[in-house]
Amino acid sequence: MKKLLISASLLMLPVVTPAFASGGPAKDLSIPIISADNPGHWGGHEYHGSFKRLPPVQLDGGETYVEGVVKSKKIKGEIPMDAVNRTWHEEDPVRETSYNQYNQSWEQAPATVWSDAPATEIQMAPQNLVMPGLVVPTVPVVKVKSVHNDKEIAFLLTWYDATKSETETMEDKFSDAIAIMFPVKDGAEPSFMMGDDENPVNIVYWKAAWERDLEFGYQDVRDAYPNYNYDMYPEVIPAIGQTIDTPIRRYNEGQRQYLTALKLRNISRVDPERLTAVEELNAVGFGTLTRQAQNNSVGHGVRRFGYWSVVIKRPLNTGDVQDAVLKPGSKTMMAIAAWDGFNKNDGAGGNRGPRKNYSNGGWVPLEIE
Amino acid sequence: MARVRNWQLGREMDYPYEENRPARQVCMLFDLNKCIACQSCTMACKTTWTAGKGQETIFWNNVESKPYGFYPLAWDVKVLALLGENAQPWEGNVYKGTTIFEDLGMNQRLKGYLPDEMDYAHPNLGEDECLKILDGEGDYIKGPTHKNWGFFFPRICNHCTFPGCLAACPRKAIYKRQEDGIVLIDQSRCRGYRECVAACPYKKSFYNDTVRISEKCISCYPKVEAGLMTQCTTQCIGKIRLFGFRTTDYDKLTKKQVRENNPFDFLVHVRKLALPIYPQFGTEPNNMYIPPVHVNPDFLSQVFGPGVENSIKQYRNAGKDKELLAALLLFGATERICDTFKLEGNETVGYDPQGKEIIRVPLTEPVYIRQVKNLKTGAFLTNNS
Ligand code: SF4
Ligand code: SF4
Repeated sequence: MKKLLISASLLMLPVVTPAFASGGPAKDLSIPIISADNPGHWGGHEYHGSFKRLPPVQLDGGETYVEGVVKSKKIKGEIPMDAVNRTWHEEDPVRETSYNQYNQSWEQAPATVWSDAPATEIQMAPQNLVMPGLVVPTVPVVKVKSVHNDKEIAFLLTWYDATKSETETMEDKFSDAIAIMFPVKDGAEPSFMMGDDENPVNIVYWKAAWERDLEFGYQDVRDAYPNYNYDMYPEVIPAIGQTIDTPIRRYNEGQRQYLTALKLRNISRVDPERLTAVEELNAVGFGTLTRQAQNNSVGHGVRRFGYWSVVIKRPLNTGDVQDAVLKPGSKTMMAIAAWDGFNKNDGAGGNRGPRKNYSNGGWVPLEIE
Repeated sequence: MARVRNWQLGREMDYPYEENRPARQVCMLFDLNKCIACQSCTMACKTTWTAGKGQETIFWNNVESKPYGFYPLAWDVKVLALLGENAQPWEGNVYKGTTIFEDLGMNQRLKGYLPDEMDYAHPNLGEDECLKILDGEGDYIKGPTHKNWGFFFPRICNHCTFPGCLAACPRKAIYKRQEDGIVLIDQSRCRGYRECVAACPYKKSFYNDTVRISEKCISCYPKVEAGLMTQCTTQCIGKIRLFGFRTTDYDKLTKKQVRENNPFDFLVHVRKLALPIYPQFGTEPNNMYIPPVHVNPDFLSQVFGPGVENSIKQYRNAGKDKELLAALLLFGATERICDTFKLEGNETVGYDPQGKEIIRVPLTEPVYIRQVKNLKTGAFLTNNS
């Protein structure tokens, strides 16, 4: 109980140097400790205000910031998929107490793969080039880190979102999401507006709802409406013990005809057999986004203190012609889009599709060490 | 934005795509004087298409009790408010207000709203309000002849000429078929953005919770392709509906080009008896309604536009107007799509597109007078002896 209290009190607080200030050497990001009954000025989980006053993204503690470029650092060994779980203290099941053991300072904590990687803070702009769009950004800044080990490359994306939106199993609910985009052709410079006719782009898209599907099973009507009842669906076969709660994963091909999108394998939307929380797509301009047949990326997101931290990993060379080739020792570029599923726009629902934030200025250079 | 011609507004209007009318257009006519709110149409549709998991709140066909019944909650009131309350003026047959595609905010493709999930919780909430439960201050409508009024309003997707759903889809996953004007959502391309749900002013695109994409009325296209009317039409107990194809081309909508022997052209364009539903929304809906004669005309004008008075006058006279009666008696008479009709003596005859006779209906029902008693057995055959 005591441990839990301590962990609840460890709220991410702003430090003297705003993370938006110019880059350069590692910053001193020591974490002040405050008591549980004095949650402090930021109030912890809820934050409302302009992005200038946003608490700096600092889940990884002391970090090196670079500006205007994403640098993919070369490392040895496995790339960890969990950005938040600091593997350096495996014997301690409650991660947060590790702060105390290291004298309440990230600085003294041993470095990890992700905490050592250089960070780039990318300011986001509201998409309003095609309608419908946003007027003000709903995700004002995303922090990007990247590492690779000559075989695989991974990106860690961290952003603040006061509201957790991880279901789409309700008429008016939308999911938090993030996507990274690369030119498919080596050296090409497609339009940052999702590519153009000559220059396709390759997009990897993560969605909070999929993360939840993976953790608790594909979310269905019962998850949205725990007390609902329905006499019987025509596709359900009571003779073999099925009920209205039989997971659609167990439906045979005949039963799937009652769920047209499932039968058609529209797995961007209905995928009860999902293996990872990301999907790969291609586009040649707005409105052309299309899912790839072959998915080579994996993704995993966690949420703490109002921050999403999402790791997206894929082979440097996937062997899939629809994917961007990312080579060690090369320079290319990437772009980011982010959605706050909760944020309502003029009564037309939360962020989704073109109602999104994109990396301000479009492409960001990506240097792969 | 392109400029397109919307005959229902009597003017041009803005639309995100160029005008592209299909070769022919599916059209449904409803005689609202006859609907009894039995919901047979709703169940016919539901059991045919939307009984599966995730479709619990999907009613491609619904029947609401006007003026206060809605599905989803307050849909038309909310869309009217988006256009500006009491700001939909008509000058003759020309609409002077704005449609959902006009007068837009900076981040809008059109004006719409996404209903709250609770708006779908009750299929006809407010149905009893016309029985003065609303404010407890007596009847809502005051007048010497009709104290209360209400009517039943069956609604399906209008397979609009300028669909709001199609205009709003950022992925172009919605398309209008050239061969019959049916508007469909590509179930393998939809990514569940629900822009169409927010955009359709009639709220006839629905979200499926289980498959997480939008689904809408498909106008029973397998039946239509076989020359049959839709399920909701053929199952209608009140025989209030007629389904078929109307002439679509605006330019040709002159007296000469309209096919007077086509029941749809006849009732919509020649007689102007059947009127569009909320034409001011601007989507050029293709479902047409014969307004209920006993309802407050101000309300009817808000829903069906400026043609209400003419329509009601003709309808009241239908008993003496044999030609009109001939068209009206085709309603509910056959399952086959009727392309042309003809008045033959005391009968109306319907023909399929090949010109083959498919139905023959007498204008006046023959009267048989039953004996009071079966003379052989002595059993009573009527109960008014
Ligand atoms: S009624 Fe709504 S769903 Fe149907 S075509 Fe028109 S805009 Fe689209
Ligand atoms: S089946 Fe016909 S009479 Fe019954 S509710 Fe539907 S439209 Fe009205």
